[in-house]
Amino acid sequence: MSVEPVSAAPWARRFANARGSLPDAPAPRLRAARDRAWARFARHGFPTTRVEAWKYTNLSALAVADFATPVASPKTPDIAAHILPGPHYRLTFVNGRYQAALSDVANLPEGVRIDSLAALAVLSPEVVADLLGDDGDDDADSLAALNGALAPEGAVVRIDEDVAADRPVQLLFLSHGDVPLAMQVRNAVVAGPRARVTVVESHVGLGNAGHWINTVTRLDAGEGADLSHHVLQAQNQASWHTARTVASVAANAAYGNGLFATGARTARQELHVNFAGDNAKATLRGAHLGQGEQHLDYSSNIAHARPDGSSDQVFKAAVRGKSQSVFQGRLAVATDAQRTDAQQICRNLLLDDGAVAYAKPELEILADDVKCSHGATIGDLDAASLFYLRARGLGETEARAMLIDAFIADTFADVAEPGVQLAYRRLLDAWLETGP
Amino acid sequence: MLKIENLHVTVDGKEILRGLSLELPAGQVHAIMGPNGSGKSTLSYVLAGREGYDVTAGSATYKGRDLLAMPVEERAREGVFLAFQYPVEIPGVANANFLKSAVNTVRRHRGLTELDAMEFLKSARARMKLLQMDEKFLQRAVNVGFSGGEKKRNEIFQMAMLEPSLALLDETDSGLDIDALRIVADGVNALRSPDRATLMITHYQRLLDYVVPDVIHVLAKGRIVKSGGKELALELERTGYGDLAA
Repeated sequence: MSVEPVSAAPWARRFANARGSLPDAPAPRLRAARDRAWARFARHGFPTTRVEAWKYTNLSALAVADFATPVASPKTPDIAAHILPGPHYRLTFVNGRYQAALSDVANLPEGVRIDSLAALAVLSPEVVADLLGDDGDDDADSLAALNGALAPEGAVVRIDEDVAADRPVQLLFLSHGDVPLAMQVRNAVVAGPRARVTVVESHVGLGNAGHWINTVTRLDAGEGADLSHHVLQAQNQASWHTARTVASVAANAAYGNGLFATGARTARQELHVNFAGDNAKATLRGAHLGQGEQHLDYSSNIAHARPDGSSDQVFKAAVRGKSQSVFQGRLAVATDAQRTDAQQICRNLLLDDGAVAYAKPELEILADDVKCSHGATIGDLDAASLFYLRARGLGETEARAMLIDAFIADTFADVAEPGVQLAYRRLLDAWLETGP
Repeated sequence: MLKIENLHVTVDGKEILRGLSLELPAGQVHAIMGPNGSGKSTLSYVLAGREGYDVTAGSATYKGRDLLAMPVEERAREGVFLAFQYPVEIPGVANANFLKSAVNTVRRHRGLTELDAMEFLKSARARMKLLQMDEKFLQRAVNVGFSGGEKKRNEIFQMAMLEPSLALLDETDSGLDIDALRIVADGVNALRSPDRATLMITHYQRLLDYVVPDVIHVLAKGRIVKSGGKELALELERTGYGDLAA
């Protein structure tokens, strides 16, 4: 008989309490899926740094932290500063709960469906059960398992085949209040064959309570679909943010993922991209902007399983103070994935003596006819560039900000929608204003 | 305007300038010529304030102030401009943003009102026209993908925008074909005025055909070994640096 890991114990009580009251509790398939997920978490507990994929990110303080269960929020926060600029559709979640009054999904065009997971689970439990899938049963996957057991809410975005959503869809997750809360969020995005949509996940933490937000987002780009997905993470500096994104990309489809993280005390963004069909394409961009004692982890796993795929990944980090950035970039090209073109670049700027960047590219290439390249750099701002700018009269602080701005802004330069572009820009400007 | 006395500078422990003295009054253009390795670029960098150049003795006084004690940006704001021999490429920073920030920083320092976007554009266009530069250069990243000649023109364009009191031109003629050289020279000449001074550092005399200096100095082994009028350039052309550098 195996012994339950110590770290799982407090959650057993939470799961027992939640199990009967979850919105989908009456649906047998969903209930069974949650029980399976719980069993996986109970077996593994929180991942430790002994697990290779979690080598750089230590969750031991999270594992023993105490959290309240989110309840309906007593007051409505002002979301104006956090909504996506320009026309968009929006689902807003406050402290993990869907807020219809703060959302904007009226007048959706035909073929565009945007729902709260909890509402959909009551109306169409079978649909939800099909969407959620399983999360893997490795010790590295246990947070996804906990999410699968407990997540009461999230967003479901479905775009029918041949439909192009006319506006980006924002999923706004906002937390506030003085009591640390643990929030499990589960999203699903399905773009049917040849559908097009841009989804922006915005995570905003107001106040300074040490919340934990644990999300799982599954995305499915159907044949020939074009699915863009942006994750803008601006939790408060006391929070924990752990997120797993799993994208499946069908033949001739394009998946774009952009991560921009300025928030959280400890953040882990995991990205899994699975090439499910031939000639699929993934464009991945990411940036960490760290300060203070933040620890920001971006771990991606790109699996080229089919021929003629391409992936283009650029990740950049700028870290100040004693903050840390982790980049783990796994790239696997299977035997069948001939003529794969995979490029990976990771560049890090260490802006203070105490700042740390880890860059760990992991390439596993089994096909023989491929073009794969990777590069990683860690360094300070270019001295010649700084001198050039200062020799034109710019102060050192301004010159440094200009170079950092250029370095980071490159990661969202190709974002097509002006409103989404502006959302990135605001986060970058806010970070640059917090220090030299 | 600029007075350099007995300047000694070492780079990586090696003495490059060994007692250089020079006086450049307002309203004049001086040229410094010399063979490779004589210390020409070291002089321009030490005057602009680049790190890694250790002044072990001597002084440089600009408008009565100790130039060498001023931070890099302070020198620029006070009107010292170095046109780089090798302008730096800065990906991601648009020429227009960079230059507008620089112009307004300098204007603030000089007690002038800042230029708004329209005023800046108008001013930039007029100067680009003079230098026969395409306006598209404003939106491109600083020097990225520019040809050698375009980079040099961009330096002179920045100089025209910043309106310095003291211009240091470091090998501005190198890498230019004859048409580009003429355009750049026109740009330099347009800035000549009684309250400005220019120091041209060059290996060849051909720039001096277009920007005629008041005084030519020959730099060899870290010090000025000869000074004279513009006829000195022709003499050097005939005899080379051989005797002077020996």
